[in-house]
Amino acid sequence: MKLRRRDFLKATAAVSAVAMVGCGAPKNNALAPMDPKKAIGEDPGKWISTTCQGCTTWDPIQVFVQDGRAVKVRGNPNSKGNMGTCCPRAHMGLQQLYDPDRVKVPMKRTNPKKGRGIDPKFVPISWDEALNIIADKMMELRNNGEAHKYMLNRGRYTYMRDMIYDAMTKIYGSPNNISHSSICAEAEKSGAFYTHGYWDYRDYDLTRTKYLLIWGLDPLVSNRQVPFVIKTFGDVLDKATVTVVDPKLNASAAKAHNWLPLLPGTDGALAVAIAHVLLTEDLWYKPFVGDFKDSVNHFKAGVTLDESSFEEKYTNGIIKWWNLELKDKTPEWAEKECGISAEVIYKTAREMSVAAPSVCVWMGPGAAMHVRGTYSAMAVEALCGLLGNLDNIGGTMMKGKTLAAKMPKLDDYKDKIAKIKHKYKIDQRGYLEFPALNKGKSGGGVVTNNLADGMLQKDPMEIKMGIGYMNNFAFSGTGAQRWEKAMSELEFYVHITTNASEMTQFADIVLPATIATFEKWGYLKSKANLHSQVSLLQPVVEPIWDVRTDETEIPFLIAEKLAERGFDNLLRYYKEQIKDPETGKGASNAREFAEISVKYYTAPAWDGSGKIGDKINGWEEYKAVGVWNDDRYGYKKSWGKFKTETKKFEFYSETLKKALGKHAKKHNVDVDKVLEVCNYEARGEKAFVPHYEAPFRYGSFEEYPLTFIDHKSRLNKEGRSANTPWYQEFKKVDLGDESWDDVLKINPDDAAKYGIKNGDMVRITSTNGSFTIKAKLWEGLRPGTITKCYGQGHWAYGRVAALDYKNAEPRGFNNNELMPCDYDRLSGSTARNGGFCGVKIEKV
Amino acid sequence: MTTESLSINAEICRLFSIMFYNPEETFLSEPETVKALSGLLKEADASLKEDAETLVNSLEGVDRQELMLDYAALFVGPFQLQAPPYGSVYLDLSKTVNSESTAKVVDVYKKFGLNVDAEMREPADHIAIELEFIHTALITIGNMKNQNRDASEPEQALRDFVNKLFMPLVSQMCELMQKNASTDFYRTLGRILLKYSDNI
Repeated sequence: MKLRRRDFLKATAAVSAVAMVGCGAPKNNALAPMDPKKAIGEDPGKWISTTCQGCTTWDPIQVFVQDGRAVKVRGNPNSKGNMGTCCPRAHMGLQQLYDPDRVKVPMKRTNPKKGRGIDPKFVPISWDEALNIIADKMMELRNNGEAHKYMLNRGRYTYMRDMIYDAMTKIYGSPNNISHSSICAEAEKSGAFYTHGYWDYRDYDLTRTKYLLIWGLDPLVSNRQVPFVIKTFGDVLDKATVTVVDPKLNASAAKAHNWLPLLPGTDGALAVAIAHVLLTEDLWYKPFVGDFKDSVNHFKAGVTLDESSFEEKYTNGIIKWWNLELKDKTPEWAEKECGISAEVIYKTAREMSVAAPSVCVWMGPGAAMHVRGTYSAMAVEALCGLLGNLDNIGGTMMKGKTLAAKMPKLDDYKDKIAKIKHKYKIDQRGYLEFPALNKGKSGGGVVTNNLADGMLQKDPMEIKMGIGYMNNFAFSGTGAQRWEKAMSELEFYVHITTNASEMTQFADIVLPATIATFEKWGYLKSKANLHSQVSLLQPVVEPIWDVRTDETEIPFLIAEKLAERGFDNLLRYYKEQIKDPETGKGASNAREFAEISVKYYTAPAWDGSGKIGDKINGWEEYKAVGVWNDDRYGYKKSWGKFKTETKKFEFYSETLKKALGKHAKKHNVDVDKVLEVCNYEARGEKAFVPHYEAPFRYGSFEEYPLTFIDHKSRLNKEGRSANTPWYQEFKKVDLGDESWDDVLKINPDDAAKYGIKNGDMVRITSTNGSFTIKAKLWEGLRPGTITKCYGQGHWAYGRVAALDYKNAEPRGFNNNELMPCDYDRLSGSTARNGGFCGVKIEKV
Repeated sequence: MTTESLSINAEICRLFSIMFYNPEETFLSEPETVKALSGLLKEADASLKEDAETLVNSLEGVDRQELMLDYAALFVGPFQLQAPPYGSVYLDLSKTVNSESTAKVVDVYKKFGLNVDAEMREPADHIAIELEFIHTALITIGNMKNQNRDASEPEQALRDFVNKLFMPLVSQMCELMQKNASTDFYRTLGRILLKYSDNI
């Protein structure tokens, strides 16, 4: 509550005085006379374009605003990617926007002690005071030669990230801008990159596909195309065969023609066995792969072949792959490894070959986010090569172009401190044991979850101050307990957030952020239905509370404070380099900067200079339509021009060979040593082909007989929806779950074995943690596995998500406290799938 | 209600409104506001005498930091609001802010030619704003009566507002204040506002 008028406080001491004054004029502070010109009656309202950031679909949507209130949401009909559809997450945004537990004003910690269940004793402060404290701390580090002890943590972002994540950190002079990317993704990108040179998520030609192979995900629930899949899935079921590979039943599997509940972490075994069948039964797609020179199929189980016998077209190393991995990987072998019968493996391979090349191989994190996940991802993605479905009609697609400006160069604004080269960042990417080979570059990727350990070890440096936005690593990283320890020991942390969360529990300053979809300027690049898009986020309503935009306004405000303290490089960069493309002027204040910077970046999509995609005439029209669509992506455009070392689809990955070789050389070891240190099984040439690696497991089967499966919710909105009543009320839309609860789902056969009935409380224990939870008997998973949806278990959140914040009592428990911390080290990804978490249960 | 009692009632509502602002910016820097509120309450309703005195006494020697912490926990956050100051949290099924009932509050304000200043950055049904509105509405009605104009329509609108929109907020929020406040000041404020609200 802002005090606007001091006379509102004037006290009238006695009744007689009040009575004497009579009624007179009211004293007002919050209320003001209405504009007489404003029409009385119901505002007809209007739809305003923006983008949902509930998941990485980044769905173009529209919000109906009436009398300044957001009341309804729909897919943006101008989007060629979603065809006017949105998913439940977009609707839940309304309750996030109007959540009474939102952070409303800047707050300051008054209790220096930090930890779970310890009241931070936050008190409200002004923006000015908060920014002064932050700038003082930043300057203190800088003046002491400790700028590198500052870090920026980025959670979910828009492409305006450049302003806070890159410009602010780098001009200030720290190497430690740490993103969230590898906590829930990245390993699947390895699969695509080391086979066909594409470090990104794929698109899928669902409207023309004849076979949809969904592997390790539920596209109706998550993974970047949810609205498009909701729109088209019924037609796909009518026109194509749908097969789902997942250890547990999901919504897609419930409707699919086939469900292959393989043993967790054995995806690679199933994939290479399918490949084995495609080759031995002469079912591969010859226009893409090529054929034996004598046109006779020589792929026979167990037989090593001469590489010169095969003439490849758009691929590299088919015979090497066969000799190194596939020749012995029969369905009968795979059946023992993955639990899917040989008969089903043969059937699946044969059906796919009939549909080829119109096959979508849709791989998700369940097949990739394993310890050793890079090879699993490569094995699944390699099927695209054999089936010739990559960038082919009805197949798995790459992406077209997006029109957006690049970040202006920082060099001229970097002083001596900012120019200091630091070999490593605090997440230890690029260390021998953390190759994090983003696009093949050693240390090119992030190892987000290792940030906690880097901080605790003070290796490669001590961290004294951090700013985090839209992140909640203390909840979202496996082995979450490490984060609590690391954050408890951190001297000073600023959390920019919409809702106080576990990360906020450790903050010294809390800054209230805009809700992305409804209050924030930003833009996003996305793709679906073979169209790439540049989608706008804009404030559709005035913020209710005193919030600011995390990626633009807040860094600008900090830059102003740093300039007041004699360091104006960042402010000059913002003002001089980010100009309004229409007026040529830079921003004079933070609020202007938020809009101007988005105009700057998106201008190529609406200023008439673009030669592809939608023609949009100016900023106002772009704000109205909300999305620029690229032309439909063309088939086979990439063939012969893959961004691999050989320009071909690599069954023998020269690209991975080069990447691993460079990383090994950097540490003066050989590739085998890298693989050993990083806990992979492959040695020698096998390291360069897609292959099966046995799942790595924490806890022996003797002591921890069940395998835990973490799965996604269709209601999780980047970890920020659990405090909405709709999330809790509709929780049952996650198969087997219960409203307002968190349940551990157990196969009835296993439950009988342990004498557990529906609703019993059980204790589940892993090598990392032990928790009591309600049991739910559910037939949607194979015996020997046990599952719980990710999302509940907040111990520091609002009144809906956390059962009792004061006593740090969560609703259920957080899966990330049960699962230990480990990685697919080649990509830097956090392992959260792949059967790596053994558990035991007992009735309590 | 006489114009005199209208005036007193209006003044009490304004002073109550002040009690729901940031204490550092309001009644801690202007302690006369609390004394004035106490004085008027005692005069207006003898049964409130003891609570009114407690309210003033509770600020004597109070730890300002403790008071700020209690204010934040009850009405600001950032985790679980201990006494949400928004009508819609109690009135609407969704328990969110700025919802259907908030729109109804805005409509009532409009009837009196008022809206919430954009600078406020709070929903229209914040307890402080509702109390300020009642203060304003009572004075408007009093002025009409003084001018011998028919005030039955605004009186009815105010009565409906108080019964349907204000009382559900006050009754539940004040219960929470009494239950969850960690300082005597806010506990007493909850108790005394709840009791006094019958007089509005």
